[in-house]
Amino acid sequence: MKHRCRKISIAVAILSLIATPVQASLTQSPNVTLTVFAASSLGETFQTIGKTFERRNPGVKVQFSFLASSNLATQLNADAPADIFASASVLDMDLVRNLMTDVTLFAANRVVLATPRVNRIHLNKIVDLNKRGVKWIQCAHAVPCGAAADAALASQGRVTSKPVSLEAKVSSVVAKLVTGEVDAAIIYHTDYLANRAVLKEIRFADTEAATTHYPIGIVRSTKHQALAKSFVSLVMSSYGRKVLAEAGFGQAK
Amino acid sequence: MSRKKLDGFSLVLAIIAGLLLILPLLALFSKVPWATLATRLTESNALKAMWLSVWSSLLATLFCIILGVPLAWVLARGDRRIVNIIRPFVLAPIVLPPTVAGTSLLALLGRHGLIGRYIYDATGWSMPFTASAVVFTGVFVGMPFLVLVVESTFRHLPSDQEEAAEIDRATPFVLFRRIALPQSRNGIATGALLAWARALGEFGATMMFAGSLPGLTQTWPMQVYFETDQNMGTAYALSAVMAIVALAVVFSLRKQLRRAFAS
Repeated sequence: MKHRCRKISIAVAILSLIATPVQASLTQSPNVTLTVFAASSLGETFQTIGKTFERRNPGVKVQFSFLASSNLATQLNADAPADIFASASVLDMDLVRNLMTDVTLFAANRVVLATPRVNRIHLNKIVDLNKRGVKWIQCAHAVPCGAAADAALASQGRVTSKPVSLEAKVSSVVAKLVTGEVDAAIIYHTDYLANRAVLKEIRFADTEAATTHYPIGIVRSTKHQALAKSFVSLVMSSYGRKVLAEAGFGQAK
Repeated sequence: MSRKKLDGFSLVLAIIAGLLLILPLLALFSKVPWATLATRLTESNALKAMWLSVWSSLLATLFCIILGVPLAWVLARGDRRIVNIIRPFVLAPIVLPPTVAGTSLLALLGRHGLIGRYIYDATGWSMPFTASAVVFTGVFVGMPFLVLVVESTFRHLPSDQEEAAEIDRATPFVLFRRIALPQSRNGIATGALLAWARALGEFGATMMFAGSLPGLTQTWPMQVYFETDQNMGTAYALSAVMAIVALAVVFSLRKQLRRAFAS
């Protein structure tokens, strides 16, 4: 019996070695589910717009997957079942352009340097990132918020320190900044606004370099063409623009 | 032992189960760009990530052995009532989702963490975003495997030598050091191998607690994750090598596996 316990415990140990991270699971609605892949930075605004859409279209459920746009583009290229894709950069929309139809720009955003209002080291200007002991983070270079951060820093030209982490998506950057694990981070102006109670922002002088444009489009293979069109219309409507503008998004060019 | 006849029902389900487990790995190997494998694996970021993972997981394993073996000993020989209460807690990380492990480590050692805040206030240093966070995560997720296996080894040591030593009035420490440890070498090796494999493969908790910076905290599994967006071929190449390592671990533990399933 004792022997058996030992054998079982080794078996358990070996079996549980395989730990798998789980992607967001898609739940089924009774009628129609519209699946929207959207950039991490669109989390709050798109959820608001999604709720309005569900209210106006009874029986329709809007299911979101919020990740870095580059990540979503990879998933789309691997035939992920989405109806709509909203990207935080034109570059990532271009990666899947042949799968998309009706692509239009709908918003703009810019990256800023954000720092906790209460912090051990005080940062007042961008070059303060060079101060001794400052820990700061940004998105990975391939992610839209990372590309914008790189461009903004290059335009500024005087930051010589390096980030301590290149995060997979902007929401991870924001979470680490808001919980005070770092002294500063390059995030979107919209993320700053959502957390302005605890954060302050420092803007880059070159607004153009810090800006990224958001395209939205319908996935060609969608089974819900009409619904998808109507969701995109809602995003582009005066109501959608109002939700986005209140969150701090700029007008699409 | 004679071979028993198998019924068709079990056989069909068993084949499905087997394929379900084996096909993904076969598929992975079918996608590996073998011709460019060497150049892909020697890219600067890939090399950095593999090297970081190798040394940090080995260091984590060393800590697991130094601290985990005594813990296993205490669990094996301590007061049953107390030990039975403690054991589930020290084994919990085995079944903890990586994200929960990451959150817990931040809660403890982050700048505003339970202990981390005192360290940060006193020294201005905090563990997140450092290589030590990678090692610490490895210890946290790996040590329970070692403890599990080694405790069980200690419990099943033959009692003759120990009884003889007790007659010779050996101190408890001598008993542990001279009798129990040498007899448990295989169990410790098995536990260490499992702990190492677990530490090497950890992804979620590490990314949450240590962040991700090439050369400093971006581990091999993280590199796979980021390469799936950049260059799928490199992601396959890096994955394949990890899969080979995993297969080697399971292969070297095949005796233990067979014994585990034979009873």
